[in-house]
Amino acid sequence: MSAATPQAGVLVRSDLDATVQQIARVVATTLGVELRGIDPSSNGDGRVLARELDRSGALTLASRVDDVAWAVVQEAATPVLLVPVAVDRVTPRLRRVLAPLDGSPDAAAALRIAARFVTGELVVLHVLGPGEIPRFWDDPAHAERAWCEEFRARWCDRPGTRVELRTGRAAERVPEVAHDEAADLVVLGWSQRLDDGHAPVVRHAVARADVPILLVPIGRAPR
Amino acid sequence: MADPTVVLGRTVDVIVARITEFLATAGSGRLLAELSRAGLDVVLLTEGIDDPLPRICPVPLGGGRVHVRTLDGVRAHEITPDGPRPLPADGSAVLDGVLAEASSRGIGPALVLVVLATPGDLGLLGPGIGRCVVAALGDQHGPLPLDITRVPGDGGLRCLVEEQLLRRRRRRVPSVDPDPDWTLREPEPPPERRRVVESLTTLAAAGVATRGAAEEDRGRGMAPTHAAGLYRGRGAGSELRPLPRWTDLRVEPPPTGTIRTLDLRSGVLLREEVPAPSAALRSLRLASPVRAGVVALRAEAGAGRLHAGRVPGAAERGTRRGGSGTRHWATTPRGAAGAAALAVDERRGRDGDLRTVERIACYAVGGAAPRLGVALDGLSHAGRAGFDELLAESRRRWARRWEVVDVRIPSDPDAQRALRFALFTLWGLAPAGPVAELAVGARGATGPGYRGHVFWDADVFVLPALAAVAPDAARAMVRYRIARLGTARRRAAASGYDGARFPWESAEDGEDVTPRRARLRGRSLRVRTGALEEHVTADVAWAAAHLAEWAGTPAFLSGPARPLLIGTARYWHSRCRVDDAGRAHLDHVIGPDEYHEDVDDDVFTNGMARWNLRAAAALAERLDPTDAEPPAWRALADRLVDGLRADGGHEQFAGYDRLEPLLAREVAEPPVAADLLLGRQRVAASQLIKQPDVLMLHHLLPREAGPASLPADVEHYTPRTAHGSSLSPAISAAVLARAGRADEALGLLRTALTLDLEDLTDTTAAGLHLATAAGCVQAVLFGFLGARVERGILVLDPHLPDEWPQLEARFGLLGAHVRVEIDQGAVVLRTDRPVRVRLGDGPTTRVLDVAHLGSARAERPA
Repeated sequence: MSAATPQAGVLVRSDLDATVQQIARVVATTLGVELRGIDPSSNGDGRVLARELDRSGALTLASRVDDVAWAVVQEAATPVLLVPVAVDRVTPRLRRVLAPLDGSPDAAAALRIAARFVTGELVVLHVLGPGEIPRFWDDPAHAERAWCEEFRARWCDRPGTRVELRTGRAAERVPEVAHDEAADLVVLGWSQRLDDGHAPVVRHAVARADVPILLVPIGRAPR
Repeated sequence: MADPTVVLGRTVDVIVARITEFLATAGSGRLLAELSRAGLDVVLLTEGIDDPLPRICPVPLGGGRVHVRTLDGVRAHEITPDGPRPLPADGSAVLDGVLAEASSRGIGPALVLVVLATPGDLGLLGPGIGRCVVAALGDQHGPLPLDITRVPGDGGLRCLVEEQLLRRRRRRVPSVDPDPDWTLREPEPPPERRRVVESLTTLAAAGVATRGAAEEDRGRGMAPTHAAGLYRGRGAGSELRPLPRWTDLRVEPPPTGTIRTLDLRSGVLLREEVPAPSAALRSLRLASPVRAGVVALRAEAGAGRLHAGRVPGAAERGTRRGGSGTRHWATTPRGAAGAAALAVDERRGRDGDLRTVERIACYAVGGAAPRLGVALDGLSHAGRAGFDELLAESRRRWARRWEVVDVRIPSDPDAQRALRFALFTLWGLAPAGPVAELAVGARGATGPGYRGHVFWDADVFVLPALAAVAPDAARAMVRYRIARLGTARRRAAASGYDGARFPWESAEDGEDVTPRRARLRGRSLRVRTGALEEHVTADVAWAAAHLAEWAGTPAFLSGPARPLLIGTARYWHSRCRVDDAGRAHLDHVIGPDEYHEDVDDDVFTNGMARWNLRAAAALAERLDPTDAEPPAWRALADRLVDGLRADGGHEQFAGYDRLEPLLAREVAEPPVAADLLLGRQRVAASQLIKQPDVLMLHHLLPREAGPASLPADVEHYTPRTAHGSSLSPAISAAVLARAGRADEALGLLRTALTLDLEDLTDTTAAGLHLATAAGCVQAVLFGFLGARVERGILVLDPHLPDEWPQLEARFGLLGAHVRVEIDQGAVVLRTDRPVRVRLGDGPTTRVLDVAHLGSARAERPA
């Protein structure tokens, strides 16, 4: 492909299966942009592909999860759409997007970056881990609604947003809720680091989810 | 001469100067009169007081006062239109007297300008000058230790005076005293904390509350103004009605940052742009505690930046707006649950590069149709008084409030300020005149949280504090319940019982508005509080009885509140089950500890019901000795299971002791929402409790619970309490203090004091937790001070933590305003009316004005 003229669009690895191609087409159609194929073999390794992706001006690159994809997601500044192994169906549009937010400005920023992908209902998931349990939880009839309302106001005050609250480990809850909510896409902000046990939520979601995952780089740490 | 508008660059409210300097100023008499008409006070200092008095002010004065004081502080006169009038001599340093006088009108030292004429003045005036605004005439002073504004000796005083007159004439934004003991300063928060700061900087009066939202936000985000008890909608979906907005301004470009200063002393909110450009945005608001529904604002910014917004702003669909010239109005849609009208008068002006906006507005709240005429009428009266007078009378009312109700802890300024913030929050409910009733939602009117619904929080948390702070508001709260007795009777009948059954959640019409279902971690959950948390019925009765006892108004209980006690007793009489052994039970209830649902014989519920039956019986027998019901109530009360164990403590409910003996610290450091941490089922199967239940009975009804059981119950339940309810820490602090564990109590009180200030719940954005604020006041009065009223006698049993060697609490009871001063254990009581008082188990004394009561007992070991 030519990288001379950056163009908003969706790239898809042309070496991958039909499901990935179809998902990429759905995303491109939903966003109203062009779908373009890219052959990673002509660009050497994933890092080169990541640079190509960033230069292209594309909104994302759709890929299955393989070594090339892992190399790309760790390098590219552009969000990457990963299609986990378990995904074998294609929905006609992005009706519902699930966005796990940890209540940090970085995560909220990732969602803003990915805002264009949210064309239907947005379900924001917050998982209270064992060390994050609130101190107070008042009346059972009101507490969760009030808490979710405030969480939405703070981090994703966008019409059509619903906040879902869970307890436990986020890594486990994200694929569960994506399935339960029949989400068409999961948007995950991440630090682009896989070393030293980083990104358990990303690893788990990619391994377990049955829905495409848009990985949005945030707060990139110096390498 | 320098530009008179920029000598000090701020507004002051009192000017102190030597009389010789003043009289040397051309036209001094007319100037004095002008200052007085502008509402400024002038204090003239003199060596000998008599000589110049006749010629000080030959023309009539206005609202501001003119004093003449000798520099030795011994003699003082007030110049009135009828001539000089001697003031009580206090003999203190002259400036101390001036500052005390200013303070009594809500004016802090930083709003007092002291004009130094000679180098010796500084020493003469004493250390208080360090807190004042100081100007030095001429250049004879040399280096001075204070931040002093130097003005020319020739005409400098006139410059200073004219600057103040001009600032008022041009409607400049007044200043506030930034004293950290009295102010809450909130720098521009990050976006996620903005709504929290809006809650914290709410101004409320007479139940109408306006959050501290930025004027230029113009309704983006949460509705800023609500009124207590004004709802829209019906049933579980009913909610506080958002009122038309009165603070909107257009500021372009908007400020990138501001600092909000909430002045607790004078009840105003100042907002200042930072970093300040040459013509910075500043605004100051007040909610009049004197005139119901009246609010006022002044704002200033660069003339090209500040534009009046479209006021009033609509907060909901169906709002009607109209008006012309400077006067505009808005009305909410009609509604069976209440409507409101807002009338606004706006004046714009200039001061050099600055645009100024002055706005006075009046809400009329209540009635099925908006009462625009009432709003317009209130606005006309307020408009005639003018902004400066509204500010002055508001300050005076606040000064009076702090004079009679306050908590002073010299060793703990943080706790002192937080307690003042709690009192400030409660005062927002105080009526400005006669009111029919007052519905106090969980967040009052400070935000839409909990939809403004009324819970037991109102009756047993807010009301007892208000009884000591603003008894009129407490009485209006009881009237809210009395007015809904009919609905409560119908509800009891619908449940197959007699008497009156009050709902767990209540709004406008008194029907139960508790949601039936709620979302819980992705699942729909049946909400059982509405059906089972029945203690609210006794709580309502207790609140009426407590108020009557505390205020010393038994006629209130035997008169208007009588049906409450009788109706609720009838309910319990029909609600109890008597077993074959003759023991009475209350089955299938939820106590304050909501971790355990559908339990039998909850100690708190049974204890409250028992008290309700006995109190109603006593009242009914007194009014009609032939009444047949009281003996049956008494008999049932005597049979009601009390849960007492052999060890002298209580079992919280039948079967509690057989649950998993889990302690709070074994799962997490309290406070913690243990139900979220462990799951509802696990918590329900354990002895972890959400908040005091048995100890809540000890708190409300020490005699009913049995004082002898307090140590055992404190010992048993304190480590099992997760404090997962925002109601928990303050009441636990009160009980622990009473039990002699004052240091431990202080830790819990600190949690409660910072619950909103530090947003410990992550939900302060939706409004302030009124019950927590009231709980903090209760903890001080009923816990650390150990105050209660028994048969018309104030009983004190203080237990202070080591960190508080001194405590002064001012509050109202028995128709009097009292001050209890504790210093190293010595207890002194001052009162403005005779009261009977007892310290601990000591003798009862009738105190006419002041009495040294003796020493508080030493803290008992746990």
